[in-house]
Amino acid sequence: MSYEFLEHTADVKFRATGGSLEELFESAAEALVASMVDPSTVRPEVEVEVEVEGDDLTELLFLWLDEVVFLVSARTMLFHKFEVEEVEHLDGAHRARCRGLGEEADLDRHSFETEVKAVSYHGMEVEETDGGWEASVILDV
Amino acid sequence: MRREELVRRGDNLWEVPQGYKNCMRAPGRLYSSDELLPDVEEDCLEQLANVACLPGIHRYSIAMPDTHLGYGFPIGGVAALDAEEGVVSPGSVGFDINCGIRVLRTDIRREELTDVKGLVDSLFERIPSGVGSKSEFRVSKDELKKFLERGSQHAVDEGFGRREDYEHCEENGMMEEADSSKVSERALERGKAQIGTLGSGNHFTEVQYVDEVYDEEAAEVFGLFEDQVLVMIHTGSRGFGHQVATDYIKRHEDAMERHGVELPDRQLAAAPAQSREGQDYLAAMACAMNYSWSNRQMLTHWAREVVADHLDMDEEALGLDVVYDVAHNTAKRESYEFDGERRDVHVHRKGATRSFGPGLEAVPERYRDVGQPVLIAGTMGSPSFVLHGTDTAMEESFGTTCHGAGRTMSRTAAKKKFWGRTVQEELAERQMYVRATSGAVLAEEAPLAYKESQSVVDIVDRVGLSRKVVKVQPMGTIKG
Repeated sequence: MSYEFLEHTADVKFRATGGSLEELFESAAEALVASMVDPSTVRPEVEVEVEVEGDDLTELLFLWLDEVVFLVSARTMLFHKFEVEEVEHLDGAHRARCRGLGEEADLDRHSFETEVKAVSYHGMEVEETDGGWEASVILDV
Repeated sequence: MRREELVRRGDNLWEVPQGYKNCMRAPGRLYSSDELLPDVEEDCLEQLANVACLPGIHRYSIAMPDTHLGYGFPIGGVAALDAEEGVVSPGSVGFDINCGIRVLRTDIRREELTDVKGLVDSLFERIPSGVGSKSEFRVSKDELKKFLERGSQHAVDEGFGRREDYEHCEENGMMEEADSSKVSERALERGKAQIGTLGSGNHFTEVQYVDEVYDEEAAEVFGLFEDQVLVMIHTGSRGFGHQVATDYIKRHEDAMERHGVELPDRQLAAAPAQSREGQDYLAAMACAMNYSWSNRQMLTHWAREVVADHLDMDEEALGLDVVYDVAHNTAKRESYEFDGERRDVHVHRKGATRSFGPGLEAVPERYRDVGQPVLIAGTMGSPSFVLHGTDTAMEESFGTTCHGAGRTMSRTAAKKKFWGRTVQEELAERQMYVRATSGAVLAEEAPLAYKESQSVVDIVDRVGLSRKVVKVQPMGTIKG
């Protein structure tokens, strides 16, 4: 499970990978948070559960990351790590059950690198690779 | 598109010929100079050509001298799309809807302001800034909807400032088309948490002084004079606008096929202006514009209190009036003449400023003989400008001019190259005090990561899309 940040003129771009779809979804959310704050400074005190449903894997990943942006933006939550229980494909719909472990942002302890304001739906692609799954994502900061 | 493929049309004008791409419905136009052109990314020229493929485009797609690569549509880009037969494009307006600038004047001179650091520190205390900062102003969802539907006017009704404030504001600080039922729950939640905050990134509140007056007559009409202290506020629609954009970009991208809209770049995500998607977006975007105007109105009120308190003078004696407030990142219904026929268009401006000329009803009466004040922010540490709108802009660029200094270096590259503290120290050496919540933001926004605002403004002045009135220098800034 990993991610790397790529060069992009105006925004933040990263590539996330995972041995399974669940791991990919975890990596991508972790990359999103890591672009804002050092996840090791965040305490895993609160658990937030999220369920998303989309027409395809790309839409599903987009909705999941959009949910994380929402939690950071509207609830000032930060996350230490994510656990994605299951990414499933049933009756034509893709679903993911995800959990974030973190705490409310505390400006005395958390030093922000930047603020992610939106996830770009466009250009996002989830691909199967030899070793598992991969996705690249552009964030509007 | 390669730079060599551009056709030169004048000292400061280049054209992307309509034949460059099959889908182009009009040529593209770039205002630039020999000096700035090499900085314009070739991908940005490609975007300028792509914009000319939008259905319903009139005359040409336009890029201003501060243009750079954007999300689908170039930053510093302009397109007038037919209101009946054309599309509206949430991708083109972008994420930070009505990111904009407001300037407050004062009656005090630079030398009367002896403790800039003290004033900046007080502003920093009073105005919630930076990532994760919360508004101290709590609103219910129903209350928020009133801000969304009435913008600055509602903020003034709630005690944030006075009537003259919104009267000196583009659109009187309120888009009538706003309909809060077109906005998602998620956007409302984000909006509630952040109303009355400055935000982060390139947003700032700055104490400035008038360094040079280019046009005495216009300066007098705008209430500006040499050595005068000003306050500039640069902020936008925060997470609310970003969520509206996210929601509608996705919805439009999903609906493109159904509407038979074919575009060379799906990022432009567009739907016919008269379709359900198009109409809903315009109503939701208007809410984001109003949110942004409410935000700048609240910050205006707090900045006024801080300045009055700091100088121990009452607001009246300080003459702390709003000069004007301009919106970047919008699509607005305006009317222009094409071959003798008047038509309504949605003028999409991304990172571009309206620049309405003299005599128009949309310009506040007090400024009507001169034209609309055009406010151009410099980057941290570099000068800002006040210009006025012109007839040339009405004829050539759908009443539009540049918006500031375009980025030349990515945020990541800037962070690698600069250290926040060094940036702060260097600015301090130039007698400029910066207060920010994060060193990373300071590095990302380092002056060298941007084109110089002066060269951009000189071009629009030379070609007449707006005319310089005064040049303004920073004294102290708060950043997110």
